[in-house]
Amino acid sequence: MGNVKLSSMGKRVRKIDGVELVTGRAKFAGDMKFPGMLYGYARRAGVPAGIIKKRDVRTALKIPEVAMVLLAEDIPGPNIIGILPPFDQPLLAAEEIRYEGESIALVVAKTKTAAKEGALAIEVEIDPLEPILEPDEALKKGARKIHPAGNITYSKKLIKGDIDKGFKEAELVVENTYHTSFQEHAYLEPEAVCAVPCGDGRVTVYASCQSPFHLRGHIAANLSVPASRVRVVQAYTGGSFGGKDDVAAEIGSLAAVASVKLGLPVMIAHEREESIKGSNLRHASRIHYKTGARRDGTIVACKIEIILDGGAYSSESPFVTMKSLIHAAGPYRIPNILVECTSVYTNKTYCGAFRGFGVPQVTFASESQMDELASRLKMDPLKLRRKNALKPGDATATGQVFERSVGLLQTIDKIEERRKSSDLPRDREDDRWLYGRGFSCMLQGISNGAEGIDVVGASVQVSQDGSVLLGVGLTDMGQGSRTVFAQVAAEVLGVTVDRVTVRQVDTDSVHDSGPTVASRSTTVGGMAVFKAAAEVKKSLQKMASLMFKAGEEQVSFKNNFASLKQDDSARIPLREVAAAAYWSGFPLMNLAFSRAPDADFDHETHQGDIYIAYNFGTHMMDIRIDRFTGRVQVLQHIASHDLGRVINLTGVEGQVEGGSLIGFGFAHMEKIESEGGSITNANFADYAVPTVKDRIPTETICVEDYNPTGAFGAKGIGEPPVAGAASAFANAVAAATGVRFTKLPITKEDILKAGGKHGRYSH
Amino acid sequence: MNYLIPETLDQALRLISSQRNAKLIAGGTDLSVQIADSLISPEILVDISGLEELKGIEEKNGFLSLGAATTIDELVSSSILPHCLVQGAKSIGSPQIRNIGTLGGNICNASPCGDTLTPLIALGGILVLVSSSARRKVRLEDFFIGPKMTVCADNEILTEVLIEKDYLQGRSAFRMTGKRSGQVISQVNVAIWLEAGKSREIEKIRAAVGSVAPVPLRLKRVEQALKGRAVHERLLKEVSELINEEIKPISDVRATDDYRRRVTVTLFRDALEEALQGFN
Repeated sequence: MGNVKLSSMGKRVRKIDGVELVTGRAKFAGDMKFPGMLYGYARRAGVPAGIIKKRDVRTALKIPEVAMVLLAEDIPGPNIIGILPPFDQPLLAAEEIRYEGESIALVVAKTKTAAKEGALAIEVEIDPLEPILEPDEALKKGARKIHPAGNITYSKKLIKGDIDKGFKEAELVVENTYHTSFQEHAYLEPEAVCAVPCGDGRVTVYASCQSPFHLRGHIAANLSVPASRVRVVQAYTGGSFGGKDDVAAEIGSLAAVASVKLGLPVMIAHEREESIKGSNLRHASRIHYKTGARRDGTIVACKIEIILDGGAYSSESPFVTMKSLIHAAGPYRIPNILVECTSVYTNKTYCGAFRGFGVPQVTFASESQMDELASRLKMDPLKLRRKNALKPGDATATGQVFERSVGLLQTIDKIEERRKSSDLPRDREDDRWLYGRGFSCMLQGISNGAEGIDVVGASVQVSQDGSVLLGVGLTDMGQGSRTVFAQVAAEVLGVTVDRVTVRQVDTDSVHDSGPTVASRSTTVGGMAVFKAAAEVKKSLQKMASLMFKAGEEQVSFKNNFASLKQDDSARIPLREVAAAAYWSGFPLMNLAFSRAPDADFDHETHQGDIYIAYNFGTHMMDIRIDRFTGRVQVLQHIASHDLGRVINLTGVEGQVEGGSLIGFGFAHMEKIESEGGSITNANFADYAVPTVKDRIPTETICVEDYNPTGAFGAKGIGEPPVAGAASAFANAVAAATGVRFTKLPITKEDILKAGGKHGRYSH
Repeated sequence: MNYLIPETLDQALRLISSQRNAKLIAGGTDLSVQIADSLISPEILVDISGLEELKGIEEKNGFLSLGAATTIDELVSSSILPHCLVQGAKSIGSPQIRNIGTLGGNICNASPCGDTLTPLIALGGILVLVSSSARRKVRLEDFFIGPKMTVCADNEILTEVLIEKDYLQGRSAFRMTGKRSGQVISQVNVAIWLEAGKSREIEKIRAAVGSVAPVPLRLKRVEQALKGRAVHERLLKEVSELINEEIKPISDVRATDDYRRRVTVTLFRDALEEALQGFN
C-alpha cells in the first residue's frame, strides 16, 4: 500500500474551508434553525455519588413553554451510551449517580431559557453516598463498588524480556513517581446537536461530532430502530480533540428520542460549564517509574506502574490504558520492560479520548526520567537519548521491528544542529530571569492498530463539468483533513484544488469508516481517496484517449485539462472529457476502501506488531522564568517530527503548533480544580486554557522517512506534538530552576513556591 | 425579563426609582454572566450604555471627566489619560469585551480585581453619583464596601469619574498578573501614581492594590513611608513589609494567598520602577 508519489506533496495548500470558517459563513449545529424547533436542557445530578430516590417532573411540566420531560424509562432502547465494552454509562440515570455531571432528565421547551427553568424545577432527591475521589480509595479492599464489577475499569501488562535480570545488570537506578492532572479539551465550540424528524419515519441528526457512525449506532439503539432509519450529518465542527464522541452520542440520542416523540426538531447545545463537567476529560495519572542503566548510559530495564483516574465511566479507558502501556518506555531500545497500567473508576467526570490518548502523560514521565538519568550519569541529555534511540531494525517495547521509517535519530540530528546554532542566552541570566533549555523525545503509534480494524471508505464523483465531489467517512474537526483529501483527489485527477468539493460526513452517503482518531485520517483515509479517484480516472483516460485518437498511456491530466504527453499543447478541457465520458456511459463515480495492516500481538504481554507505524519526534524548548512571579516565557520551541511524508506543509505546521500549545497548556497552565467531587473552575475565566497571547513560538522541522504502510509514505501528525512539547517544557523548567517537578501542570505558582537553585525568591 | 433603553439620564433615573428589582446595565460583560449563572435575576434591565450624557473623555473645570458609559476600548485608545489607567484598561478581557464593556460598569461591578479600579484610586478618582433629587461626589477609595458592594444607592447612577488635572502631571504605572497572558482576571493588580525628583526622591505618591482584600485597597502606610524619601533597596524592603501588613489576600480558584502576597510585592516594585523612570 501507499507506494505512490504526488507531485504536490509537501507544498502549501490553504484550508479549503478556511474562508467560510473565519468569516462566519459556516453554520455550526448550534446555529441551525428549523421551523418549530425546540430546545433540550438536561437536569444534572449536581452531586458526585448517590442513589436517586425521587424524580418528580410535575412542576417542570407546568411551565407553559415546556413540551416534554424525558426520563430514563422514556428511552425506547437500552438507555446506554459508551464507546467500548463494558458499555457502562446510562443515557439518563435512574438509579445511581456516579458523577456530578450525570444527566437525570431532559427538558424540552420552546425556548432554551424555559428548558433550563424546567430542568431546575424537576424535584430530584438523591441519597448521597460518600464519593470515591481518588484511585487509591477506589482500589482499597472493601471499597464501595462504583460499578457492579468493581472499581477497576481495565488493567493490563506489557512484558518484554526479563525485568529482574535487567535490573541485575543495571549499575544505576533512577526511580520517581509522577503525576499529571485532568485536562479539558476546551474546543471553541461546545457540543451541539439538532435532531430533525422526517416524514418517512427517519430522523436526521446534525451534530458537532468526531465519529458520526458511533452516533448513528447509539442513536438507533436508544430509539430502538434499525440503524438505517437514522441519518447523522456532521455539522462544521469547531474542534474536538477526542472530546466529541461519548457526549455527542449522549446529546444526539436524547435529541433524537425527543424529536421523534414530539415530531418536531430538537436542539441541544451545551454551555461551557456543561461541556467541561459533562463530557470526558484527559485521564489524570500517577506513574511510578524505575529506570535501570549501565554507567555508559545504556538503558537495560524499565519498570513502570501506571494508575489512570478514569472517572465515573469507562468511555475509552481500555484503549487509553493500552496506549499508555505501549508508549510508557519511550522511543528507546530497552531489552527488559515491565509495565502495568490500570484505569480506575472514581466519582468524577469520566475520562476518555484526548489528543495524545495516554501518551502525553507517560512521555512526561519517561522524558523526566531520561533527564534525571543523564544528570546522574553527568551525561548530555541529548547524547543519552541518542545512545538509546530506536533505529530501523530495533525492537520496540512491544517487540515490533520496523525496518523502515524509524526517523528518530534524524529528528535528534535536526535538534542537535539547532542547539549548536542557537545558544541559550544563559549569559543574560540576571537577578530577574532564569534560563533553561529542555529536550524530549517521543513516539506515537499511528492508526487504530491494537484498537481494532482500520478501514476507511471514500467516494469520488466527477460531474459533467469536470468538477469533483468527494465523500470520506472521516471527519474534519479543524485539523485540515478535508484539504488533504481534496489535494489527493486533485492530484490524481489532474484538477486544481478549487474544483474539488469535500462534503461533510453524512452517514447516508459514505461507508462506515470508524472513528476519526489515532492520527489516521491522512495515513489511511488519504489512500481510500487515492484509490477511488484512480478508478474514476480510468474512465476519463479512456475517453480522452478516444478523443485524442491516441493510446491511453499517452494521456495525462493537469490543471483541468487532458493533454498528450508528447505534446502539451494538444489539450482538451477536462469538462469536455467528463461530459463525453458521461454521454458514452463510462462510470464517473467510485467507492473505494483502504485497509491498514491488522495488528497481531499477544494480549497478555502486549508483545507483537501493534501499529502500522510510529511518528517519532524530538523537541527543544528554551524558556526563561521570572524569579519573582514564576512567570514563564517560551523563547524558542523547535519540534522535529518524522512524519513519513509531508502532504500539506501548511497543515502540518498548523497541527504541530496547535498540538504543541495543547501540550504547553497541559504542562504549565491547565488544571481542573475540584472540591468534594465538584469541579470549581468549569469556565474559561478560571480554567486557564491558553489564549492567542500565550501562543508559543513553535517552529516545525519535518523529517521525511518514508512509511511503506501509509498513504504516500505519510504518518499522522495530529497527536504527537502534545507529548513532545509538554515534556520538553518540564525539562526546560528543571534546567532553569534545578528543581525536578514531578507533577503536571507546573504552574507559575508552583515554580515560585519551589524556589530553585538560588533559593526561594522573595523581595 | 424586560430590557429598557432610556433615551436620557432623567428617564433612566425615573425608571430605576420607580421600578422594583431593576438593574442598570452598561455593557453587561460581567452582569450577563451573573444572570446566566442565576446569581442574580433582575426583572428589569435598564441599559444606560447609549446615553450621550454618560459618554466621552473631556477636560472641564480643572478636572478630567470620564463619562461612565465610556467603553474600555475608548480608554485604551485615549492619548490624554494617565498611563496607569490605559494599562489597566488594556488588561481587561479581550478586544470584544473591551468594545462593549464600560468604565462605569467596571467600577459599579465592584469586583476587587477590576483593572480600572486601582488606577483610578491611584489617580485620586472622584465618582459623581446622581439621583432624581441629588448629586453627590464620592472618592473611589470610599466607594467600595465589600466584594460586589458599594455605597451607590439603588436610585443612583454613576455618571462620570473625575480626575484632578494635577494627576496629569507626574507619572503612573499599572501591573497585573493572571493565570495566562490574555483575557484573564487579575490574581493581583497594582497601580502607582507619583511625582519624584531627579535622584529618585518621591515627592507625591498614591498607590493601590487589587484582588488582595475584599475591596481594592489604597496603600496609605506605604505612601507615607515613601513620601519624601529616595527609593533604594533598603527602603523597598521596608515597604515590602508594610505591603504585607496592609493586604489581606485569600486563597481561591485563581491563586493562593501566599502567591498573592509574594507577587503583590513584586508587582509593586515593578510599577514603582516604571513610574520612577523619566524622573531620573
